[in-house]
Amino acid sequence: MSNYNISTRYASALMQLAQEKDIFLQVATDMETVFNTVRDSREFQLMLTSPVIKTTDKEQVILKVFENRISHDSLNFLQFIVMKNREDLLFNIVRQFLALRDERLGIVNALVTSPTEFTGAQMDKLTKKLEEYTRKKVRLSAQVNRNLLGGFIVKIEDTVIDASLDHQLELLKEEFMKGDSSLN
Amino acid sequence: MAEVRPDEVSAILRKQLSGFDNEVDVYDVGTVLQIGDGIARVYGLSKVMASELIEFPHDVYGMVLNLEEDSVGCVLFGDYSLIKEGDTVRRTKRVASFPVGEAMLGRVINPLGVPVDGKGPVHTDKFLPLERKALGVIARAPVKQPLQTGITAVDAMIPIGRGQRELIIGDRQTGKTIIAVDTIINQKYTHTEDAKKIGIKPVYCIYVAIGQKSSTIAQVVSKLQEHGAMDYTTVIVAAASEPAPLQYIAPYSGATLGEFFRDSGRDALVVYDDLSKQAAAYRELSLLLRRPPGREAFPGDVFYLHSRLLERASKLSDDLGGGSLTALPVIETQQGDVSAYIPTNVISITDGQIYLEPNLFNAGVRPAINVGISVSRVGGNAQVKAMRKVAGSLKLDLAQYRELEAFAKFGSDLDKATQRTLAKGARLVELLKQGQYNPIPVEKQIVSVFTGTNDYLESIPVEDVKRFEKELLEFIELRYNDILETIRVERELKDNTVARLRSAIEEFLPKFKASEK
Repeated sequence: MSNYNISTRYASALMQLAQEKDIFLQVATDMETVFNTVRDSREFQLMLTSPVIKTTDKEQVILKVFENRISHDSLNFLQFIVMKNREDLLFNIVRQFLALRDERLGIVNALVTSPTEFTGAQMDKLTKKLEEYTRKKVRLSAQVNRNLLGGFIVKIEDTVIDASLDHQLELLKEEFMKGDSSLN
Repeated sequence: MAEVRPDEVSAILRKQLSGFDNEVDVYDVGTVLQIGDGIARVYGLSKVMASELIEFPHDVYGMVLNLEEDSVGCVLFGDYSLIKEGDTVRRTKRVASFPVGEAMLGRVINPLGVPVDGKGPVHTDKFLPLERKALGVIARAPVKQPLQTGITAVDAMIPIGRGQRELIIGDRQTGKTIIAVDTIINQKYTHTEDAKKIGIKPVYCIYVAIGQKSSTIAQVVSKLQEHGAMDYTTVIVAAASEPAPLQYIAPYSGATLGEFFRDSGRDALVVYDDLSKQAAAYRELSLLLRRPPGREAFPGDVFYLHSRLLERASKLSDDLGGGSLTALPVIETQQGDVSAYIPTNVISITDGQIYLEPNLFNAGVRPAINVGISVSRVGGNAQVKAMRKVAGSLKLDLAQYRELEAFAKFGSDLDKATQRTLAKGARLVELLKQGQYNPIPVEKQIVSVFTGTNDYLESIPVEDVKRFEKELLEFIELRYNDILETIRVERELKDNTVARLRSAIEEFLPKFKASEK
């Protein structure tokens, strides 16, 4: 079975349990903490995937790191993953859980790329527009790319809304290339 | 050189610019996870359709074949070494399709519709999807018009009708392509005013070359050009050097173009040369896509691969314009093994087969058709009446000859009847021999077969049969051209025509001198 399938199984199990126990929001924040911690620490990632380190040691590390930071249920879940020898997939599982959470709460992630940084007001305005367009809550993050020259690109999941000058020039070039008007 | 005025240039630029919309572009994307061997796995593209065309960087296109839970498996039609992991892939939102139109005639095209003959762009305004569901029962009519191949042996014994699927099967180097190419060349007649007058509709031809050497394809194209057949023919090329995905879709491109002619009420002929190579290409990409292998490592749907292609050949009912699409698939067997997987599949799908044998070929019987196991299941109704009349006993005579031939090798004591059968058989075999690129019009075929089945060749030595036939036809053409004309127009042999034909042959017989030994 692919890693994707396994991660989805664990993530949806946690989701169902959290809903049953009515601790969904708590678990969601916990998982975000775990996600950020693992993402930011390369050592932690290496430790999780290392075949040399014993499972019991890994469990101890996880307990030490997350004890007192996350709720008891979330910690139990992490321990359960380690017990099942799936700690190498921990990061994927948590990521999958966060994706499921977004889906449940009707949130989509969007990334705006622009040649200069957007101001707060601009971001708010764009978020509002995108929310109208997608009819969902939009979590907008931004990045800067000077090569775009002007305009901006928004990527919502797999859909790209391209209003950049760079892309316009590209299209213009194509238009000229395929045009068969001659001098005669 | 004429001077270029700057204002002219700007006028042109302005004209081009006018068609350019400055609008926000919205498209769906994915990321390449894995690439290699012409197969890509793409993450994202969540709304992509099966068999949709997708665009990779560097103008490489691909087609989606596998829709999986977390990724999309696709095949690439271009150079996959240009694509890297992490590249962005874009949806085109249209399923793989092929440009169709009259402008395609006379051109050499690749399976994506891009011309490869260096004659500039093809101007078509219509795209049809590569994969289309074959027509149902209601839309079809029985096959009833003949499609003359110009090969006497085929037209007499294995007649092909418009809308039929007739398999050409045989080992390598047995003349499979020749039969197909001769058939295309013979359609030249259908495009003449003469044919129009007697109600024969023109046949548009499509030759699909799959996995062949480029030199062979070039040869076929130049032969078609030489015989003036390219005017009504499109050649679709996926040479051996092309990626497997292109070889896989090539026959579907051909079928799509053929359907365009069929659906506009015209008749079309499409040759798939050859489908064993296409099956091998499909096997390659199926295995790379990790689909489970079955018999001979072909995937489970290799039967469907060919059946959905050949089902698209059809004769339309008159309500739908009465067009037709005839298919001549070619299959290459290995050492005459027709019971291999692909040959049995295609034999069961088609309406008959022309079986070519290397033994016959090497013995000088060309076309090397094994009459015993070659059949046409529906063509009989489509055969020209006159031909049916004269060729009725031909197949039987040849079958008897083949049976006795084996016996005759053992002993010399044969009774009169056996000797007669053997003599007649040998002469008929000789009569049915025919050169390459030399299609014979149906009325001449009828006269030839008539002399053969009516025992006029008895007195002619076997080695002189071909010369006799040639000279007889010349004689009739010169003196009694009206007989040929009558057969051609009436398409049946009335009693008085038979009588005149007999007297003409009898007049010629004493004039013919057997060559000296």
